[in-house]
Amino acid sequence: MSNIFIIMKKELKRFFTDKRMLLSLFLPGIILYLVYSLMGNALGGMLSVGEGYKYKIGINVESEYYTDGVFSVLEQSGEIDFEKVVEKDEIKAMAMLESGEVDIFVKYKKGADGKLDEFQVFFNSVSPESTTIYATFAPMLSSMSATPIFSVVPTDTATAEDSSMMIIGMMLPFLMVTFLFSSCMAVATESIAGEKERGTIATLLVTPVKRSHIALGKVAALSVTALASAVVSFIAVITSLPNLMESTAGTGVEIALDLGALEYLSLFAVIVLTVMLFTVLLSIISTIAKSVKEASAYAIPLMVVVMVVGVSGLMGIDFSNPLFCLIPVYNSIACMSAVFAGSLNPLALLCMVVSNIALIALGVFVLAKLFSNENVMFGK
Amino acid sequence: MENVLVVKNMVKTFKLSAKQQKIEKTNLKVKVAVNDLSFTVKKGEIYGLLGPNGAGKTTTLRMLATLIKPDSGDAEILGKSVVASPDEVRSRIGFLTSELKLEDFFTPNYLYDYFSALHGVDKAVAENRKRNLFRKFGIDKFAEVKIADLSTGMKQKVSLVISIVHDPDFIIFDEPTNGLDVITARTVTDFLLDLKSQGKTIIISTHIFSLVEKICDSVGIIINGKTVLSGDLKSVVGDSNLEDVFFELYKKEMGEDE
Repeated sequence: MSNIFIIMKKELKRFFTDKRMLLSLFLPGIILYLVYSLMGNALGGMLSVGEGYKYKIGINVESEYYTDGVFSVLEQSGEIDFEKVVEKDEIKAMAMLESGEVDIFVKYKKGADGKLDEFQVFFNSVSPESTTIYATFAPMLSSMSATPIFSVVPTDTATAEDSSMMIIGMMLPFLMVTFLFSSCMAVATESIAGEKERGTIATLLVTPVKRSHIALGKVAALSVTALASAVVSFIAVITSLPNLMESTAGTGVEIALDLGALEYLSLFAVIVLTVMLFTVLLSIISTIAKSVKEASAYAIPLMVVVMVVGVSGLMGIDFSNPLFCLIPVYNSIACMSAVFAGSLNPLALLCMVVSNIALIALGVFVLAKLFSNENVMFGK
Repeated sequence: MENVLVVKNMVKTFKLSAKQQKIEKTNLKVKVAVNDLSFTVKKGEIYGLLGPNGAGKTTTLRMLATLIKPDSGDAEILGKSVVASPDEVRSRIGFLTSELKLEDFFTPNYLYDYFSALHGVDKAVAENRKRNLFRKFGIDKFAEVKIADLSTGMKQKVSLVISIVHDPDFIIFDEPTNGLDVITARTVTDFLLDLKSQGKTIIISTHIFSLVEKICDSVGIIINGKTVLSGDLKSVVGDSNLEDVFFELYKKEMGEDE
């Protein structure tokens, strides 16, 4: 047991006192922060409402009687420039909303059989003009409808393909998995294939230390290192996210960054287990490879698989059956997305934990076997 | 004198790839590196494994160091089988070869402590041993210099010291003076004699006759993976010299093969 610790300590010293190694571990996070911040600013600029913009407020004929009060209040305040568009045809109105001819559309509907009369306010969450005027108009209409005969029903008309911002939000878990993989790759290839290439691993193999202890010590140290690097990337994403998200204010893309302790714990468990799984897999690849170059080449197919599984996890997150969370990588993405969405199923998390621990244990066993295989370790 | 190393009918074969077959101009898929090798080493002696390149010297020593396993046969070092209990064998031996490199990134001081810890040497004992060994080899001045910045000779000395952090009773040394300048080579041979005087048993491999004549008590001549002669240096050489004895055997052995 103590040997595992000794090896781990040495590996960590190796990674954390080497300037070049540190740079390669933490540079991606820094670059990511810059790129995300820039991207956020650019998008923010793109998505804000231009000064002196004239808002076009569409209403149906029936609502004219009720909305006139709101319009006169708006006019008196003089804060925004607007234009009233009366449109009888509802279908046409929707098309106008989509094309931006109107920014919102207010529809009055008489309540039938004792139900309240209601206003349906249609807006497009992808258009900043639409969301801005919606944010102004709807509360005013609401306050007016405080009399119990009215209710205001907001209706977002944004289509899924419009919501590019939503996708960026959803991509966070996928990005996370990608960072984890790339940082694992950098350290695992260096630590194992690199040591094999330079012949330093043989020095370790002539000591009486058990092969399984060497494997465990390496995996533990590599996981810690990869985790540190991934955490930096993650922090970079989180801190640059407000820049990115500012531009999406009110668009319904909510990333719950104010997570509770339990969510943080779940997230941490998912990240740690994902890192360890990647480390074990990449360590196996690095052990089979004869050089760092070879190991990197072998790691590419694995990376493609991780990406493909990751994307499928992104597209079809299925929480209905927690057993899907037995699939590695998919389960990491699914659990992270669920945490961000605040809807993590404990059974899904359990499946993820059990499946990953089983795979990690199997991986360490294989790794120990490989370490005692002379053809693998000394084969020319 | 008791035998501390008993090699019994060790066989080791390697698979040849198509490319290697071409290079070796053979159709055989398997190359026999060590062919039914047997010999014994007595306690407290320096045993020289002498043979031309490719005779199987390094393969034999690697099997003794438990880095690779024999296909059949076995060897017992200090009563422990290299096949059955490799971990125990490794804790009792020191193995040195130019193939065992030290990580460039670390200092001799750090690596010494690291390997001492892995061997489970008591801290105070390790510290004491380190001081003595570092002084003896002149490493003390370079104790905090990264391995990468050391000269080849100094690197070899550090490797040497690190291979015996646990004060093993049995030392395996593959080509001890290969690639060393005369001064470092002398330090190494003096060190081997010093270890012998401490009662350690040493087996070295070499193709240098003079080295065997100078420091070895016994010699085993190995050609094509077989021990063709093994015994006390004096009785092996007799009135002749080692080189002549060797070539006589070599001619005979190669002649048989043809």
